Amino acid sequence: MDSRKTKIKELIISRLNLKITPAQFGDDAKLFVSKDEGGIGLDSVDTLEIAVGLMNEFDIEISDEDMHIFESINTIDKFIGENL
Amino acid sequence: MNRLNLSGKIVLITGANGGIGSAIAKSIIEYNGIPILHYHKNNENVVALTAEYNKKGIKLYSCNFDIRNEKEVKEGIKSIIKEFGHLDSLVNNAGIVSRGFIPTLSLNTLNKVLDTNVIGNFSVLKNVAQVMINQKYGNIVNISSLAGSTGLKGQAAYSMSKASIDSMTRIAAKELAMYNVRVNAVAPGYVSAGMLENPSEQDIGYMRQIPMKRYAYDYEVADLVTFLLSDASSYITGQILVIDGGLSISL
Repeated sequence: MDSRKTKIKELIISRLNLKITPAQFGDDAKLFVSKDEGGIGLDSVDTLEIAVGLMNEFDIEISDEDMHIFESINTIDKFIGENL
Repeated sequence: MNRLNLSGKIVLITGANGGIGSAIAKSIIEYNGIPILHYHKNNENVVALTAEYNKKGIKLYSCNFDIRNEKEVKEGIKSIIKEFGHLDSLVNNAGIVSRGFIPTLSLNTLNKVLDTNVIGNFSVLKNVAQVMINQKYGNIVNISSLAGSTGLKGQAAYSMSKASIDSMTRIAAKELAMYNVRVNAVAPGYVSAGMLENPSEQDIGYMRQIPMKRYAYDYEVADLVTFLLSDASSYITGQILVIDGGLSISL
């Protein structure tokens, strides 16, 4: 598994105390869609936690203008790759 | 346990070269905190304070960045984390005053005041908040002013900027409470560094309006800040604490 995507998943799982493993976290799983509908079930408050965590981990900037990147692990990973 | 004791907490004070900033630094030291004295252009008081405490065997730390430049703010805070490993508290004190009535206030003056007092303070608050979210604890005290809530005629830009600080305080308190970060503000009325030896006619006029008939001493404001930084205020967040000798209730 792509190591950066794994790092992103581990960060989200750890910071939000999610009860899933990185292997269970699909790269394309929709972060803000409910679990019943096959998503991860996060909410807007979780975005702040994830954003700050990613900024700290990857030394990048994420602002309110970048909130669209929080769709899935793939979209976050793409953003990080473009901004390293 | 003495809940007022800051017990070695690392506290960044922006604008520490000014009168209130220096007083806050002294109060923090008195309560066993470790202040980091931020300055930008002028540092003579920071240098003097450092020398004074060096003689007593107490080392003081300082840092220099322009709060109006977010890149410098980020670098400055990064340096602090690199040096100390963490940052317990922030006193967002840097600010400028200016005079001007609304009908003749130039946008140049207004922008200058907002750039430091609002954007600058916001930049520091934002970037320190990121650190404190990662730490899962922290404490922020913004220095506002009675002018922010009452509006001082003839000090339009300053009053407007401090109203913004009040709003910033409340919003940050709500957003950061879940991360165990408290955010409050101190709103002083009139403050003087010491006893006014020869008060001007204007000072005498102002003091007549104050129930306590005097200005605050800077150490009185500083001690309120230190209280908010301590565990003695552990259930206080989102508040703008006025310290004005009763002026606001007599207006």
